[in-house]
Amino acid sequence: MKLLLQGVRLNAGIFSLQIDAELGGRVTGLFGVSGSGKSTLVEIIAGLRRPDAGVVKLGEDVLTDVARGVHRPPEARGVGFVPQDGALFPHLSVDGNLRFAERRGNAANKVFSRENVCKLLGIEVLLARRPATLSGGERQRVAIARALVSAPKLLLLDEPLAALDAERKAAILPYLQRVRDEFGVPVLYVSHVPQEMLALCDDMAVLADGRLLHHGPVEEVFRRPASPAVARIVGVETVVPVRVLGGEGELVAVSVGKTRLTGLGDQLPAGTADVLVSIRAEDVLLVNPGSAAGVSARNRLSCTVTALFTEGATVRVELDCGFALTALLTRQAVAELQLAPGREVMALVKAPSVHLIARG
Amino acid sequence: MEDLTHVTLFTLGVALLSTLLILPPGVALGWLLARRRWPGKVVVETLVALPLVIPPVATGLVLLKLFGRRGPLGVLVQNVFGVEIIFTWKAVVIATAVMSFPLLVRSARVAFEEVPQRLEGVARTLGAGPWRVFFSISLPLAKRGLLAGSVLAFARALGEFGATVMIAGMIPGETITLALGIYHEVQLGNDSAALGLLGVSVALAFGAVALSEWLLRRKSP
Amino acid sequence: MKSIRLFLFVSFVVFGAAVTSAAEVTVFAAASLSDAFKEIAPLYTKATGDTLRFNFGASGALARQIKEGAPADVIFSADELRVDQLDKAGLLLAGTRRTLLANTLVIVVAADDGAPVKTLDDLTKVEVKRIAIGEPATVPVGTYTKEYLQKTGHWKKLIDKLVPLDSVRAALAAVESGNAEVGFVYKTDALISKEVRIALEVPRAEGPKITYPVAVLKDAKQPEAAKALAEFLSGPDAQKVFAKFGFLPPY
Repeated sequence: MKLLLQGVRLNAGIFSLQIDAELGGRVTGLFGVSGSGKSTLVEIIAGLRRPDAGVVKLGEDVLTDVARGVHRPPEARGVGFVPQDGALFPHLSVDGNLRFAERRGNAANKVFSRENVCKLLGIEVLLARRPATLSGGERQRVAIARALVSAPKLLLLDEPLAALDAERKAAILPYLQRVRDEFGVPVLYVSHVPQEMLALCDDMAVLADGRLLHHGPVEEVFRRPASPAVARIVGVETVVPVRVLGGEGELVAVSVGKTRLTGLGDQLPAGTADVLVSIRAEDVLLVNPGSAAGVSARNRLSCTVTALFTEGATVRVELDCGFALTALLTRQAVAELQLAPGREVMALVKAPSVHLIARG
Repeated sequence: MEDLTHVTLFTLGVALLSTLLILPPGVALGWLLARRRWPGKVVVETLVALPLVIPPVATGLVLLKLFGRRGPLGVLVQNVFGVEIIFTWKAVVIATAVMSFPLLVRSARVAFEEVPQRLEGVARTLGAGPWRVFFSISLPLAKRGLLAGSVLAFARALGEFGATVMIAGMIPGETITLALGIYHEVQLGNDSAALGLLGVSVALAFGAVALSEWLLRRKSP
Repeated sequence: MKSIRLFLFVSFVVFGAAVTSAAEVTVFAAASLSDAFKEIAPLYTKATGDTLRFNFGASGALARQIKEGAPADVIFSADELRVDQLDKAGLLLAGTRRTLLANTLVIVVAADDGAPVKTLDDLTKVEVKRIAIGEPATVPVGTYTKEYLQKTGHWKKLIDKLVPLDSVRAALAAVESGNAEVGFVYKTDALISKEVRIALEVPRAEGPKITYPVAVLKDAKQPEAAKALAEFLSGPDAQKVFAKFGFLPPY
């Protein structure tokens, strides 16, 4: 289902929002730092805020059309909204919260029944509890479950993992993937953490200062940011799909075509499908071939320089190591190494800098 | 001298009735002031605060002009209900209601302001219309503050004098409350009777305020 | 030089003392006398050079204030009872008490389409819902009203309709505003209000003896001036004004 945002404008004091985008796909990421306008946009889509101008359309439904005076109230939009802190109703139990969201017409669609949602999000044991007694991760799962029980046509998740520590984030990720895979509801996922985008989203939009800067498939945006501004926000990453070869102690070995990489991450069994590797461009060291013996980096890759892009004080060096790798160097370094397209170099990447992301 | 029990029961009854009467409009107005903005809102806020700020007898004078036999509301009530207000127990109820209304509205407003608007917004996205959100989310979460405000209004109604004496007079057996009774007995020179009424008044006021404080301090559910 | 200054200073003091020999007399008077006194006060000042300072109120309240030490020179009450109380308490200056005026009790109704009341029995009619009177225990006109209604056997019949108020003027105002259909006031009060008319006048022979005594208080700050005032009030100039307002000479 496509979400259309046309000419959406909001002027709120020193902040102004201007968006023109058509978002589709199973999970679309909305990436931006705080103050970029993410939460405001989400509130506009949910109907909790009225823009000064523009159209918001979900599929064929016109939710907002300022010029024509159309504003569908939040309860009639079919947009499920999960804010950052979950916003569970403190005076109701978990079960009470779920029942509140139940609609009478839901009986037809079993997917969104309370039983099914509880099972898939693993919250059956929590039903009698009060929100105040739940942990952060439990609260988020209940909040997502509650939004699902209302059988939404679009699910808005506003930084759902922001309040959790790394361990709990990793624990919830599978549940989010389950939501993506089993419910067939398009999701708009708001975050400022690249790993979450890579793990969950199919395409993503980059938001900065109330403006949409780039919209495209997730790997594309990270690998080739559309502009320096976008690059500054998302960081330049190399993102490639890999095949898992197996564990080596605390390390995991993967391969891209003929090239082998060693990374640090959760132990993944050999042959796991749908795994990505992301390497930040700043984490790639370049040396002259032959000078690479006796270094600590686990990954030593033979590459050929394919292109150079100067951006201010830094240079983005595109390499071919059997896959496309991007490195970020200073101009001084580029000059010293005499880098130019066609030149052979060695790329050194430490294992901890090779991030493994399971998309399954 | 007025039977102490009778006067006490009459005072309690009138205070209870007046509190019940002002609850729906008071809660509604408290919610509106907490959640909505509109041109002229400050005028409404000022009008509501007036009985708290101007001397009670001044409020009584306004009520006398409004509800008197020749006043606009007096004529209306006479024609629609065939009922007279001034110098009857109904005047006592109206005087206490008007004087305690601002306290209730104030408490209700604060109670609703403490309900996170985010919760109300999320409830809407889950399919609940504005009325359902009010009754299922806002009201239950504001309950403690509203209850404390009601008790405060009740306590104020118990002790109301200035406006009451203006429009209800001190008619034995009909409009004498504890407060009016004290004044009446002092005028007649019956100090011991006045002190008896004073004792009961203080005891009731103590109870009401203590209850209000306790309600506010209880741990939230 | 110094002696001239001393002479000027002494003469100013003596002259000043002479000028400020005019006294200010504090008069506690019944509320029903306030209109008459508005005319009498300037007459008095012109005649004697003394000024009058008034405290008008219900005689019961005035008496209580005096008992608690309020600074009055003269008490001019609407009934003998209050002055008797002050006398018993030893607060009066001996030999200064005299009765100055009398008044009659009347029943008033609204001037335009007032209740149809011609006799006392008419008060029991259904059209008469509320009867404004002074509080019998503390307001003289109320005491007189109760006395009269008890004497004529109407007190018990009418007691549910009675609205006791703080003063005779309050009773008058209640009838003027329409909040009471009928009121018991003094004839002098009825005459000054255009919004009420007298429905029934209690004949002097049948009604209670309403007299207004005046007395100088023992702790008066201006006893001589106070005595002079009492003299003046019984004199022809003052009595003419009182008569104009409907007061009667004493019995």
